[in-house]
Amino acid sequence: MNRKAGNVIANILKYGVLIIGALFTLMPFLWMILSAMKTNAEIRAIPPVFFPSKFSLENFTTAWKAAPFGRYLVNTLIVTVFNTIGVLITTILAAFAFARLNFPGKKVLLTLLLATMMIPSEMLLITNFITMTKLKWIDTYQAMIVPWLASVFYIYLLTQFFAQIPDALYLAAKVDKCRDFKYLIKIMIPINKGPITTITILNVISNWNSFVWPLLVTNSREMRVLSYGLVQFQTEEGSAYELIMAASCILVIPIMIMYLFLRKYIIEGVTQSGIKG
Amino acid sequence: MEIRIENLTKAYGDFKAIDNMNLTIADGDLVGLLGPSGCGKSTTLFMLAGLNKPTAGRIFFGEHEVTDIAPEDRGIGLVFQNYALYPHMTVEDNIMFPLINRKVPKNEARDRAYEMAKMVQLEGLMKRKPKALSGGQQQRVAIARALVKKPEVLLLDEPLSNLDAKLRVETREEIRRIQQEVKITTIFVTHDQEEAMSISDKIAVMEKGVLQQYEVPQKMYLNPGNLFVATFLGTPQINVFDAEVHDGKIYCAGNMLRSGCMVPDGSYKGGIRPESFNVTLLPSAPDAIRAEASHVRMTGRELQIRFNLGANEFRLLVHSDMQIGVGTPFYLTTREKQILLFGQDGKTVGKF
Repeated sequence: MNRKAGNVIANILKYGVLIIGALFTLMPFLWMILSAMKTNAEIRAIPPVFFPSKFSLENFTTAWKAAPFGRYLVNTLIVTVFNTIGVLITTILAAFAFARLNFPGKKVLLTLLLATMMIPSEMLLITNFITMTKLKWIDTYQAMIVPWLASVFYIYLLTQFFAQIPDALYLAAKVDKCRDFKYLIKIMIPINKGPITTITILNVISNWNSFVWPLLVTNSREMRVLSYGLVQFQTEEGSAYELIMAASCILVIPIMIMYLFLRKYIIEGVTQSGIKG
Repeated sequence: MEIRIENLTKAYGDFKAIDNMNLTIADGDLVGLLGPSGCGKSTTLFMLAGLNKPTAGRIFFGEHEVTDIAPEDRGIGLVFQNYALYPHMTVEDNIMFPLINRKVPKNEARDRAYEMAKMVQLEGLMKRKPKALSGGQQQRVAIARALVKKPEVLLLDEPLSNLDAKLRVETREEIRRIQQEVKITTIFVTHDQEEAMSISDKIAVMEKGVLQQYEVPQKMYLNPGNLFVATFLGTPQINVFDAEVHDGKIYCAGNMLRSGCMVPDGSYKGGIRPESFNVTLLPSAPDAIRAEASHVRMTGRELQIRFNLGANEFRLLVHSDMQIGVGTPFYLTTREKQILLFGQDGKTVGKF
């Protein structure tokens, strides 16, 4: 076999595997969109039908009207924005301290923080809920924002990136009359734009998708978030899957838009940091 | 500005990185801090910069003691081995950075940055990011950034080690030119003796944290203070051999190399540089030593010949027009004042 033919076969295999991988990833997504356009009968049909008999957007309007999604969207945005700002502040400051500053007990503290990652988050739900009740924060925004203002995982991740920046840069800045905080703002953050963007996006997504905690700490309809909207269609008489799917589409759209805008940074950040969302 | 180092010591636990160093550097001199890796030369530089705290001793810039003064207030410019340019800023912003931090108005800072860039020949590259520059250009950005705040002392840590061979020669001349133009007292660290000798006004050779000798390059090469300095300077290395002295005559493996030397009888280490032999194919003098070439290497301008006297192997350099091959016998004498004798402690005893 000559080399050219070998290359062609190698390419076919390579792209074949990639296409299969892409299909596997896209399938549920496509299923969601198609199902959002089906009628209730179609969605329950056995054997299942792949395409709806007619593509109607009726489910979307029904779903949108069934719950105050506008209000949910505003709530989700408020929680996401404030939580993400807070997470970025704590993460960047802590990572800088761990990576660059010297203080007694640094190693012990970092080990302790990492050890908390071993605690299952479900266990934290209970203690955090009790704290919220005692603070009388139930049914408030701060109950959804404050308990998750620091993430050990992000801190550890960013610490690794900060630690990779050569000492010489820090010393050069020192000679240039640039103290710690200014160095952080003017040098460290711009250089680590990639990982910081990644952290921002991951945090936005996890806020957007969080369901159990907001459900626990909110009672009134005015305080609910988007993900709660999906539960609306699960009633004692059964689930209206076509409406759940339509609502899911609504939920996902803003994240998709964000991805389209920030695609360059996301890919850069993920490939740089070797983590996935 | 004159720099004075008094009894400077830096210890890490029991290990003394710098041991009681004393050195005075004259105003406007370019000084090479030379030594093998781990000799403490960079530690010394960083103590001058204020980034390392000395364990003991004092440092003076002119009349002022700076031992406890912060780096940014010492009036120094520092260039790092890897240049430490801020990768997200343009060349212009990099050079302006020290001025902006010192609250110099932006317009003035920009003017001074461009003035500086002109001197190091960086005009036209001001809007680029460091990544888009060659190693030599990055180096010059680092020098411009160090000089833009008009420091009184310029410190360079291994300024040429990240450049390729050809660029290294160009850049060292460039450093010399800039230094002369600004007339700034400059200290640079290097492990390359040729680099140090070629551009320095004076060289300070260090080993194991101890300053070995501080001298003008030519004087140091010809009159090394001890065996270490003698072997560290010069390529190919100086020949070191077991020397015996009897009645004022220096012998190597029974061959008399020199007579009339005023040194006590005994065993010494001898040293003679490869270029310090007179070589002829026929006996030129009654006391010429006969030797045979064991290796011959042609380097272009010179032939590098190896031969043995007893157990001592020597290298010598002759002009490449000499017809010597492996096994060719030849006769040699040594040039006057070119044999160094070192005592058992390594100190130079004399030059004969």
